[in-house]
Amino acid sequence: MNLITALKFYITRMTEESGPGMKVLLMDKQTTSIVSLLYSQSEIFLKEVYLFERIDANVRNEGLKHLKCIVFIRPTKENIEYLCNELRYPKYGTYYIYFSNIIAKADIKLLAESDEQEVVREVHEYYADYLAISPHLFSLGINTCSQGLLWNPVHLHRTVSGLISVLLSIKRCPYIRYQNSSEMAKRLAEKIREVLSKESNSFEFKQDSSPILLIVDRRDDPVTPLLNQWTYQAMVHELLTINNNRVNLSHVKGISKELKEVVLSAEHDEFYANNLYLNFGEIGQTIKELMDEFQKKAKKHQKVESIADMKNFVETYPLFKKLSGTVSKHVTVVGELSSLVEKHHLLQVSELEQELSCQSDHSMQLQKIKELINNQQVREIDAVRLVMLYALHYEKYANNDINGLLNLLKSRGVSDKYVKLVYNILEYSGINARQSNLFDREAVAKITKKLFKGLSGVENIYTQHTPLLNETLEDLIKGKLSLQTFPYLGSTMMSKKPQDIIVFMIGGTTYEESLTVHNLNKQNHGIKIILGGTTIHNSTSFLEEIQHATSGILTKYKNNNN
Amino acid sequence: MAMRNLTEPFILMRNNALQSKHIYAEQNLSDRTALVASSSDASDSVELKNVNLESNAPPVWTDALEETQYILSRLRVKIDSLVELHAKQLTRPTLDDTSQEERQMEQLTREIGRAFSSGYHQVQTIKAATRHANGSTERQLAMSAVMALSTALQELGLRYRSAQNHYLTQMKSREERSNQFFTEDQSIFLNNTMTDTWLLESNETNSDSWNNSQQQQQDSVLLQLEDSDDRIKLAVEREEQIGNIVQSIADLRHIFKDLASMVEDQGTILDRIDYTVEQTQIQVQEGYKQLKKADSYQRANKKLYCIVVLASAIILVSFLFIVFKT
Repeated sequence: MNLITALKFYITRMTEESGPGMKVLLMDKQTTSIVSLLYSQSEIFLKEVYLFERIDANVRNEGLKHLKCIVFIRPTKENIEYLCNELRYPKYGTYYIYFSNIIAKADIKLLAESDEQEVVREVHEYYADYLAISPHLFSLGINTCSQGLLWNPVHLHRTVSGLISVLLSIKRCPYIRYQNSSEMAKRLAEKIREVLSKESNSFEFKQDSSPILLIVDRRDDPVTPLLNQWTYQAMVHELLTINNNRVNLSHVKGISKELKEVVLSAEHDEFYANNLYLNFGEIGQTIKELMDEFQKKAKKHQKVESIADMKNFVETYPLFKKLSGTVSKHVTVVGELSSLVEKHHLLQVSELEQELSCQSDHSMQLQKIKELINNQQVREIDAVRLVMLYALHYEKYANNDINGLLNLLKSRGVSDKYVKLVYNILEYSGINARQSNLFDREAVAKITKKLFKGLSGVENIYTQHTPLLNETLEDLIKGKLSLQTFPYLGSTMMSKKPQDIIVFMIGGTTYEESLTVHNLNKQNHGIKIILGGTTIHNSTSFLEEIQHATSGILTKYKNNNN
Repeated sequence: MAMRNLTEPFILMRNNALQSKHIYAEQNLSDRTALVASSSDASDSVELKNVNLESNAPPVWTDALEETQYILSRLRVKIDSLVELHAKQLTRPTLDDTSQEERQMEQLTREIGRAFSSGYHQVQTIKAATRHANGSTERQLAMSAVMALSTALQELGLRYRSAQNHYLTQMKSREERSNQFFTEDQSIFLNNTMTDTWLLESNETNSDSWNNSQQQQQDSVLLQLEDSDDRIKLAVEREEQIGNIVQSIADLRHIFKDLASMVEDQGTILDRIDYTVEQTQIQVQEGYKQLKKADSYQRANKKLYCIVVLASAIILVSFLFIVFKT
């Protein structure tokens, strides 16, 4: 149930199956991302893969007949076409073809007919068709999956194949539960079952555990991606955007050339792996420790007096160089984060966000929102997010003041697009669209919790919020998840408590939820949870998703306003 | 980690496809189709030949690459056995009768040193060949190969050196400890002589038993003396060994220096596969843009040229006009 090792195994098999000799790796756009998340270039070099090519590149290089070509592509129509052309006029000596998913017989036939020179040696299906971000987290890289609150057919297809490949790569044939209120979840669940029954041969595993696939919809919890985050990974994603483990820093003033774009990969960066889930304050601490260590080492390097020192220097130099790279990278990132926090008063904003998501004190919160909207230093987008949270929370509250706040936004000169987004989010996930009570869930439990909280005081006002997913998963683990809200697909029901859980969130998951799953995995021994989403959202990408999802829908909220 | 092998159905389908093609070709053996087909076939084969001619032969440096890989695999084994020997040597309680193993170690060290330098030379030859490589792909290929090999060499070098250093420091500390014994021996020896003189001075008339015991003591002192002589010899030997190891490390130093400078962008954006692929594409696009630009310049120049010629012609004609009219 470790996604990264599963995919690494596939890639290693690919490079080994073709035997010794120089190799070239031919990929498409998506598989390039998949491979890059797993291996760095120098690691792949050690497997004798010396060249990388894109099959869809306009201008391809001249051929080298002495090379072995490993083709790793998704079985899409365009790719098959490209590959047919490639096989008709082969540029390389022999071909080893690996499809990242189940391929149709007809396509194989097409390829076989194109292979007139008999250059193909192997054809395999290796189910590495998703982006493995951490051992328990995957994404499919679909930024806007729905249109008019329904599936975009292209993205539905991609999502189904992605999920199928996840199941195949970890060898699980699960029971499926889906969120009852969501049309999209149901559709996806049905599609997956269709494939499972069609390809039942591939899904015959000896499984001693009882896996479950839980399909949930982002629309049930629109709050999590709207909040500012304070753990390292989530924060970097929220403020700087992580794209396939790459962070673009070129907008930072006076940045050196090699730091314009940095890689934050837990696989290759020990410091990052250790501090991924720490909060911002702790990160400052560990960065300081790292700096101290670095300075100590740097000092050691300064006094090179004897031959022994020199030898030591030569020995430790590569490590030292690596350390200095890590230090400068993280110091830059954290520096940028803290400057952004200060510049945009994110601490204040975040405090109010947390209050809005966890407490109900209408008049005071309204007051604070108004204050922050009028504060010119608060970014427009943050102000809009506050209004959105307010609107989501107090939509049905008798004397709410959504329109007043919107007018305030307009008078501040916030662009029309953002103001419209507030209606859009209500349309996307207003109180009618949600099935669980997001803001005061489990009234009794909540009250006792609140009492406890009142006694001990809040631990950290910036991390009060726990995603809805936490509750859902805890219920599922205990076997208490309601059959009405999350029914099984089909009549089969699981009798035992689940051990392996795969959660898939339509409309994208977040790093906060990834942290939740990480903690749940740690707390519950013997239970393994994998989280996936059509993408990994931060607030910016989530707002785009909403805009896309609600485009072409007549909003009743708009009409009220006019 | 499920997987499915589709090679067999693929090959079956391929054979079928090829067969049906042949059958189809044989059935339509009327003159015209045969002729037309053959002519198209001919053009095909010509094209294929061209493709084949392009770069069928592997580049010259393939041998060097294979050689280096062989060296690397051997180096790995050798370093492993060296580390094993080191461990054996260090855990051995007594230091006698080790000459054979030491010799073995020495030989291994020398072999490793030689292997490193020859590996390094091979990498250099590949590097040199990159400069003569024709075609960007081949250059890229060679560069990647050089990168991979030097990374591997560097890694092995690091391991080797840390093993050597570890051994050296262990030996040194052991020597220090034995030196302690040494001084202790001497002090005992001194004490003994002291007691001897004291005995000689104070108790001249002693019982035989005393004499005997003294004799024994002296004997033991003599033995000890011989022993320490042996140890001095041993120490000298050890020093020689250490000197040898230091020498070999010094020999290797410049190699590692070169190698260290070569590979250091691991973990940065330069080490990302997708980044490399993107860069290649950007370069290709840039090249295309440049070409276009150059093309447009070319044309613009022609126009300018034309304009200049025509303008000068007009000026000339009008000048002539003025001259002849007036």
